[in-house]
Amino acid sequence: MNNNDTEHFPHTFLGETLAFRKYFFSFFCLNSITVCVMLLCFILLFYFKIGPYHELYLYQTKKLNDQSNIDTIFIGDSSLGNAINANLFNSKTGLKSVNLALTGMYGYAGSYNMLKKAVRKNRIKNVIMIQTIETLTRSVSYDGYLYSMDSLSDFTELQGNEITSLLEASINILFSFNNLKRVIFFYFNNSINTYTIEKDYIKQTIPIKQNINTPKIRIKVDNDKPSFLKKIVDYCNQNHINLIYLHGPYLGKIDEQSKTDINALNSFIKLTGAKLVETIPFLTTEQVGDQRDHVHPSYKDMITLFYCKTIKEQLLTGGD
Amino acid sequence: MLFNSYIFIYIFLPIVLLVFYCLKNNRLAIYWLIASSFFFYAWWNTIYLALLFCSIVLNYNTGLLLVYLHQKYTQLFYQKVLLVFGIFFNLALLGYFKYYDFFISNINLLFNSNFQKQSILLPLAISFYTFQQIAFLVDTYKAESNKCSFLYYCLFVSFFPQLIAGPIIRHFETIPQYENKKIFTFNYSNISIGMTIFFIGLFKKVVLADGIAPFATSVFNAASRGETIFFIESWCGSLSYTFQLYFDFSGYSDMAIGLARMFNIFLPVNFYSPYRCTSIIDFWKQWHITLSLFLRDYLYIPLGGNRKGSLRKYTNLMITMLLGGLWHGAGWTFVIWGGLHGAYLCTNHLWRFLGLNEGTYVLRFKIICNFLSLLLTFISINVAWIFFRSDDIFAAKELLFGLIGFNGVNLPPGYLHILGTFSEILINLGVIFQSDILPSYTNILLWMVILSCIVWGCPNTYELMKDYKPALHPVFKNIRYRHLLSFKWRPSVLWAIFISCMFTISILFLSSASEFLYFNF
Repeated sequence: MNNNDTEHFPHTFLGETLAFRKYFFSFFCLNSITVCVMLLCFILLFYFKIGPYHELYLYQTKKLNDQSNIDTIFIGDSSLGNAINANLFNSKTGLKSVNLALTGMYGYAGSYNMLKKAVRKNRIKNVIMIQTIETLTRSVSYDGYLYSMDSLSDFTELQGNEITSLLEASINILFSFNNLKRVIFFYFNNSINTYTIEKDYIKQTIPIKQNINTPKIRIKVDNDKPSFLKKIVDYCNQNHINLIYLHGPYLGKIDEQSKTDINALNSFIKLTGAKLVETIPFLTTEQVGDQRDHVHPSYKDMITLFYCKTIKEQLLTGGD
Repeated sequence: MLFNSYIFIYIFLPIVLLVFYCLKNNRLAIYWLIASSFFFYAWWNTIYLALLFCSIVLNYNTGLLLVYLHQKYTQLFYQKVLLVFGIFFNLALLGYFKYYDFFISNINLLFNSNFQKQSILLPLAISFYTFQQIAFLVDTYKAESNKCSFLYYCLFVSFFPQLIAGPIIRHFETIPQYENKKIFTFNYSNISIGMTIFFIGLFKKVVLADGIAPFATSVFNAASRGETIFFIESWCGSLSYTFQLYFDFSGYSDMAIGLARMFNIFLPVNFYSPYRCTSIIDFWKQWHITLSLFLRDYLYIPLGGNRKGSLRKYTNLMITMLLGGLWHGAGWTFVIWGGLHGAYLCTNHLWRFLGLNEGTYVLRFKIICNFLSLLLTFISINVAWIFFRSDDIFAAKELLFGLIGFNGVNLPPGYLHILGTFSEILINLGVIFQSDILPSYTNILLWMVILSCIVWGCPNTYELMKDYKPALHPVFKNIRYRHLLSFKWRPSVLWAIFISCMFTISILFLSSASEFLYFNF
């Protein structure tokens, strides 16, 4: 044995190998147990359908099962859920629409699955998509895709990197602390009640303060983000559906940089082929709800009318 | 692929380890490690893998040519020309990918021109592998390195534990290890030590750094949006970032050292409790040690170091730190950060030169003086990090104004009731009960206390494991620090349970984990 060996393996020669072996196996066993527990929780999460916002997802899909002859659907995130009163919209346009808003967690991916579900059951003419302007700054929601998947065909239509990302999302869910909490909570209480649904969407919490120091709008768009938006556009084109993309309401100050950012965002959305209505209904501090992109419930109808007026000409009606 | 991802921990690493130890042929095992490292890199961007490979091939061949010229010519002229070419190639690569847009935007600003920026995606790890290879060329030029096989050189640059964000290793630190046949044998002690260091690093990154990160992010983002940052918010934000950066980067370094150790490879220490230092000079000996050593050996000393008089010494220090700042990122905020540290270092050297650190009062009130030195050093570092983190100079200015108190003092509205009548006195003193950026101070205060206890009260990873030679260069033998909690790691079942708990907690928080901060540099 030369000096170099002892330099590299100082403990192999100190008679501690047995202790290290014990340490290694203890560690290995403990972590194997952890992985097994997490795997069990993962199975329970999907078996009992107790994933985050799953109640909302079930509530929205129930509309598709309960109602027939739907010709228009609203898809999008919470900015849509808080902004559109579908009944008011129907009375003003003569269309039969439903609001299928999910949340930001589902992203474009969740909206895409919702769209497919709606088209499978109805003859849809118009798809009105409302997403907050922040959507493209968030990462692509494969979690949302996974939670809103209906069948294996939703999985098989993905390609290459998308499959890897979906598997990555599955592993993330498998080890998610929040999901572990959900399973434990469900085990002891037999239900998960983190929010209530009121007036067709999740009930808002306390509005953000009136004296809020309104921040300026800053949006940095990333090239990878709109992959599912592109899928939505292509799907609508294939099925001859009129897709209108709108920005959700927003509270924010506009300066030169904001204008540049919003212009970049708009060009980016248009690149996917989506028919974009560029108008953004900016909220005042009085009109804002519990988030910068949530309208206060008392202004929901006002915003619905605003959107209705903005897109009325572009909608396909019965005779079209 | 991130070290702090499930794919890496549960799929990539076990497969690489298993195959590495199963391959009986040493050469095949080296090939396997290189292939795994390239796969690890390509996971992020396949195209830039070609760039990494070209850089390796060109630098290796330049090194070979240097060795050949050394053997053929006694005069150094040709070697010098080749070295200049090699360094120029590396810096040009770095300059194009990292500084092109920065250069263009400054030209446009200066001459009111309208050259187009290219928005080039910065190749991951380029700053690190460029520096490693420059060091290799310089050492070969100085005839301090011998001819080595391409295989070992390739692994020296691409070895995945250190590829992305260091530690910046030098060829003489790892290539002899790759040549040692013993590294191909499974070793319980090294794998256990490696795992332990890796999981401590993972905990530091996922739980501690990412835990405090939202506070720093909300304050710095608010400053970027041009919002007013008040006194307490500014201190909370800047201190949060100071802790976040340390736990993030030292966590990453621990993970890299631990991973390498699982393959029986020793990497050098990169962080040794830098916030415990009582001077900026010491801080740079214990913060990002491998970068400091690189800057010292390949920039400061070639510039003349301290051999050409005091004025040159201080000038060299400033140049080194300014370029060190620029290395971290293409932006004036980084240059200012480097400049600030250069100024700190000059002041510190001048202070020592004048003997002000050895006065009678200093010796008589040693504990108080040490405490004040530590506090001053820490605050100076904290101020400098503001420039490092801010998106632009205006945001940094806003935070600095807040730090000094120019923007006023605020408290969350909830405290209005908690403080009762005392709140009226505070209102009369000008305190505003409004806080949109940090709605509650309780959590942040709790985090600060926990992290302070860890930084100043607990042994660092290398002190914890010092009986088991955790990394290369035991240069810190002479540093003695009295901890509030003094304990040492042993390969016992109790420690296995403790580290497993840390690992489980890290794993549970991993789904919300973010990239390492130094990936941007």
